[in-house]
Amino acid sequence: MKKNQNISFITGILVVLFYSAFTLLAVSRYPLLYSPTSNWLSDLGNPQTIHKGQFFITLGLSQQPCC
Amino acid sequence: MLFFLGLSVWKIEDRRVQIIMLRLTQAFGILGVICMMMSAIFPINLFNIHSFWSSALYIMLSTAFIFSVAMLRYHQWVTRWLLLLGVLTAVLVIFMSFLQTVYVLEWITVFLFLSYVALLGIETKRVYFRV
Repeated sequence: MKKNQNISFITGILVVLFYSAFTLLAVSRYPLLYSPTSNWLSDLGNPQTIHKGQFFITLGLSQQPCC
Repeated sequence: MLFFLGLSVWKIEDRRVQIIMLRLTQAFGILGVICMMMSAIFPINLFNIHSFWSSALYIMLSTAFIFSVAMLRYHQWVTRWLLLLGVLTAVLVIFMSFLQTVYVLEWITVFLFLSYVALLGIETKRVYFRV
């Protein structure tokens, strides 16, 4: 009971931390002008816009199912 | 995935409908995270496939949140504003499907998704810490 209770708490916090951190990293490495009013979040993972941030958003999204 | 599995602590043994709501929350939640993984595997340059998984992700997670609200309503001590946040998040997904060119709506939806997940995790600990 106690163990299960902590799983949702810990993973809930981890999801937010990882998602935010990897998104910020991807934005910081995006080579073009990036704005929430003109870009999808998915644009950060576009391999055609070759940039280092694509790795971070893909990694960020891929690790979410672990949480 | 572990987050949704961990929600089992909310189960009320003698309330069959509540248990069904909980299982549906977990099922749709797990499907949602699978869709999230698929949307990362197929990036936006493969537009049609990515759109499919991305839409499925929002539909699955918002459905999971709606069932979680229905499941949590059985617990009288759960704060009402948390349930409102869950409903608001799901409603925003419906709006997003109609206003697909409003990019900022996706950011607000994701922010609410993350907020709901974090707050539900905190609420799970807070409520069951008392038991």
